[in-house]
Amino acid sequence: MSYSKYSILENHDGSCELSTQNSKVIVGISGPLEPKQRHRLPLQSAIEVIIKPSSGLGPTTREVLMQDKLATVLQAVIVTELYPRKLIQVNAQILESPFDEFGSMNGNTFNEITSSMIDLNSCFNSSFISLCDASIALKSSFVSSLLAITEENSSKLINLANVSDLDTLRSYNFKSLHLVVLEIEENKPTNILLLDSKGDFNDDDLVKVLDAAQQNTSAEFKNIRSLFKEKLSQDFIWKK
Amino acid sequence: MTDITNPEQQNTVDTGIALMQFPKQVLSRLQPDLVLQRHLQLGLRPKTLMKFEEFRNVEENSSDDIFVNKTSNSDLQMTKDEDSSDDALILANNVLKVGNMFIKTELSLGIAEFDSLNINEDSFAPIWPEVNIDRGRIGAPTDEEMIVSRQIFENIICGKYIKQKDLVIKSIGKKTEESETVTYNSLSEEDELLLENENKWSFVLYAKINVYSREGPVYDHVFNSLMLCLKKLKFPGVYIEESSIDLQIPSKKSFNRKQKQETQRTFKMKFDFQNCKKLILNKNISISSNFGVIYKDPTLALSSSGGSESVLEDAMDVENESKEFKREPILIADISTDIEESSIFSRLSVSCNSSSYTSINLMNGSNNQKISVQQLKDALQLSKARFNSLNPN
Amino acid sequence: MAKDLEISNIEKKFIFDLLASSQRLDGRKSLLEQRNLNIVITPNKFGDIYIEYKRLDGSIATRLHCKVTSEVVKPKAQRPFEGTFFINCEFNGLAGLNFENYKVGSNSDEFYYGRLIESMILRSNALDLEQLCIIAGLKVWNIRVDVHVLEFDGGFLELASIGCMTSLLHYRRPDVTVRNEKVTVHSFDEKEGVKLGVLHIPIALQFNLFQLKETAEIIKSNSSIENNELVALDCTLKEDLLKDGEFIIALNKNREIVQLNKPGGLPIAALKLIQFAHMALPIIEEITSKMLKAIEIDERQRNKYGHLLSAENDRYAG
Repeated sequence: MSYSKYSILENHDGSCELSTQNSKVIVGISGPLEPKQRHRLPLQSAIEVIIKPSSGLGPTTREVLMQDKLATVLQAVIVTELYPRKLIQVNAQILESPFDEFGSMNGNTFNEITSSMIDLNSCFNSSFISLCDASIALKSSFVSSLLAITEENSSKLINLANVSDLDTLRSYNFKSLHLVVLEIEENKPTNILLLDSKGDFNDDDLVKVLDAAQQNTSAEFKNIRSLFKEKLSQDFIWKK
Repeated sequence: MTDITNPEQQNTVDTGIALMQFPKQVLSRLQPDLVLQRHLQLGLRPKTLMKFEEFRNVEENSSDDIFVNKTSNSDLQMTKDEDSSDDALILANNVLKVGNMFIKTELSLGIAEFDSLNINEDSFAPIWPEVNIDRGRIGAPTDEEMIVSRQIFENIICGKYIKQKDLVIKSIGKKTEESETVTYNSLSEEDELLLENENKWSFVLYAKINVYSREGPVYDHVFNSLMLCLKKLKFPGVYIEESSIDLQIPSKKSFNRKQKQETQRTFKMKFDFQNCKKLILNKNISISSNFGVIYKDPTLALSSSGGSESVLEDAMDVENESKEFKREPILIADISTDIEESSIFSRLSVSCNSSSYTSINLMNGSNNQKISVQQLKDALQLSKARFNSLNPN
Repeated sequence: MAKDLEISNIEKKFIFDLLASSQRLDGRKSLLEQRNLNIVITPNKFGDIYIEYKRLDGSIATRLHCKVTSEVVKPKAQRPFEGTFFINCEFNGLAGLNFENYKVGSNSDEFYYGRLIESMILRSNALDLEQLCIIAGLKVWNIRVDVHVLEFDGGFLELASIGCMTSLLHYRRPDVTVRNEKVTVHSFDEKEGVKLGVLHIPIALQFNLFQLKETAEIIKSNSSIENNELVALDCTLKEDLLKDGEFIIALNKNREIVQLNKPGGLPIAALKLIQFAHMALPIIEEITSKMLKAIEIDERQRNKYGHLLSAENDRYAG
C-alpha cells in the first residue's frame, strides 16, 4: 500500500507526496493558468508535464518518455474542453528511486527499465491525488499498478510497489513487466487507459495481469477514497 | 462547421451565409476529423483508400556488405585510450519502404572496456539508437525523436535479444610484422599481452536510424527495420598489430610530483573483416505493428441520397436519433496518414513473434474513443497474423 | 508558465516600512532573526536529507531535498589522484510557478549560488578529494549532490549550504578493495560504508542590504554613506526582490572565513566587513551544532543495538 500526503506545496493548486514501499515522488499541479502563446489551444486546455529525475539533470530521454505517457493519460482524463486557451501544468520530482545507490543496478540492464517503470507508476498515482487536490475537472478516476512476472516463477505476479526489501527487488530476474492504468467509473475499475507491457509474455499472462490489476486498483482506490473523505472533512464549510 | 462543405455539395445548400469552399487537400488540413469520418462512412481510409484492417505495403532492401568508408578496411584504428571508432563503419544495414516512407537503419560497432563493475555478464545488451526524423531542419532532437529512441532502447533490452556475454571479445588475434595474416589463439606462444586483453573488451552496438518522408507514427516501422538489421549482424574479428605496440615511459625530467610515474603500454586494436562471426540472437526477432481506434460519428456523415433538406429533417427527427447515432468503434491497422494521426488518439502498438508478445503499448488518449478489451484482443490477433504474413525468420 | 513575481508599489512601501521599524512580513520581530531551521534525515538511507525553514506559525516556508549519489569514474587528466565533486541545483516549476521549466543558458540565480557553494566546499578543501581516489589515473569516486527545491520562500543559499554539508557528513560510500588493478565494490551488507572525508564545515550566510536614503539625498545633504543601510538576515521571497544589495560570507566554526562575496549593489563601509563576520559567527556556531546533533541522533537510532554487539571492555579512568 502506498502512503500519501496531499496539499503540501503552498505554491501549487494541488500537490501530493506519495511514497510506496520503495519509491517516493512529489507532484505539484497548477491550473488552469494563463499560458504562453505556444500552449494556447482554441478549444481545449494544454497539458504540460515535467518529470525531474532523482539525481542528475533532467528531463533526459528517460523522463521524456515518461512525460509522454503521463500526458497522454491526463489528456484522456481531464475535461480539457472546460478550460480552453488555458494551461494545466504538472510538475513531478522523483525523490527516491530504488536504484539510486551506486551499483544497485547489479549490472543488470533490465533494472534500468524497471527503475523508470517504478518511477512512472508512482507519478501516475500521485498525479491523480494532486489533480483532485487542485480541483481540476476530471471525467473519471484512475489508478496505476505495476506488476511483474519473474523467470523463476512465471505463475506468480509480483506487485512491485509492495516490495519493500530493496535487495530482493534488485535481484529479480524479470520475464515481463506490466504497467496498467485502469479507469474507475462508479467505483469499479473499467477501461484500460494505459497498458505498457514489456518482456516476454503470452495471452494468458496478459489476462492474469489485467485481473490482478483490477484487484489492486479496487484496493488502492478504497485507500484513496478514505484519504479524500478525511480531506473533505477538513476542507471548506465542512470543517469543524 | 456549418460553413465548410465538400465541393460536391456546392449547389445544394441555400442559406443566407456565404459558403466557403475548400479543395480536398485544404479541407483535410483544416478539419482532419471531418474528412476522416466521411471516409469511414464509405468504408475507406483517407488518402491511401486502404481498408480498415489493411497494412501498408512493406518493401525491404539491404545489402550484406560491410561498409568501411574513406580508408581501406584494415586502417580502421582503435587505440587503447579512445574507444570511439570512425563512424563510417557500417556492419549491417536495412532500408524499409513503408508506403511512401523510407526508414534507413545502419548498425555500427564500437569497442569499450568491459566493466564488470557496471555490467553483469548475464544481463542483456542494449543498442544505443539515434533516431532522426527528417524534416528539413537541424537542431536539438524533437520530443518524438527522443521518445522513439528511448522506446527502442527499452524494448531491445526487455526483448532480451542480445546477450551481453556474446558481445565480449573472447579472443584477440595478433598480426606480426612479417606475416600478412592474423593469427588467433596461438597456443604455441603464451603472449602476455593477448592474455591480458582477453575478456577485457566488449563490443557496443550503435544504431543510426533515419526516417524520410514521415507518414504516421514511426516507432513500429523503425523497430521492424532495426530487427531485420539485427538478424544480419556480423562481428568482425579483433586483432592487435604488433607494429603498433608502444611503451610510454614518463620522462624523469619532470619535477611535477603529481605526474603519473607509471609506464604505460599503448597499442592499436583493429577489426579483421575476413574473420566475421554472425551474432546469435538469444530470441527470435519480433515484428511490431500499430493500431488505432476511432468511433464512427454519424452526425458528421454526408447523406448518401437526397438533398440537404432530408439531412436536416433527419437531424430534427429525435425519435430516429437513438438508432441513427449509435457510435460504432472501428479498429484501424497501421495508422498511416497525417489525417489519421491527428484525429486518432487511442493507439496501440504490439510487437510479437511466433510464440509470444514482446511489448504492448496501449494508450487511450481520448475519453470518447476508448479501446475496449475486445479491440485489444482483435489487435493482438491481427498483429500475430501480420507477423506470420511478413515471416521474417 | 514563468511569469515574474510582481510586487505592487503599495506593498513595496509596506514591506520597506516594516523593515525600517524592525518588523518582518512573516511576524519576526527582528531583522537579524532567522526562521526556524529543521533538519530531517531519511532513515535507512545515506545522505538523503530534507531541510526546511519554518515560519512562526509552523508552516513550511522553504524546503529543500539534498541527495548524495556516487559513481566510479575516470579522473581528470591533470588530477589523477583526486575524485570529483559536483553540486546540481535547479529551480523548476515545482518550487513555484514563477520559475521557468526549460532554461536556456546558465545565468540564473540558483546556478550562481550553486557554483558559490561548490567553490566554498572545493577550494577550502572541506571535502577531501584525495580520499576518493581508488586507482590513480584510472578510477576515482565522483560525488554529486542534487539539491531539489520543493518549496521556496527565500533563504536558498543558507539552506542549500547547510543541506549540502549535512548530506555530505551523513553520506557513506560503498567500501572498495583493490587487488591487482581489479576493483571490487562491496555492498553495505558485506562491508560497512565509508564516510566521506569532511575536514571542516563551512556554512554560507547572506546579509541582505536595503537602502535607507536615496543616493541623491545623500549627496545633497553631504552626509557619508555610513549607516545608510538596513541589514536583514534570511529574507523571504518578497523581501529578497526588494533588496538593494547582498553580502555573502562563508565561515566555519573554527572562526575561519572561507569565502566572501559582495557582488555589486549598495556600497557598504569597509569596516562593516568585520562587523558582519562577528555577527555571523554565533549564528554559524549554532547551525553547526544543530547539524551535528541531527546526525548524532540519527546515528544513535541506526546503531540502536551497537552497545550490545560491542566487544569493547569497560575501561575506567583512573
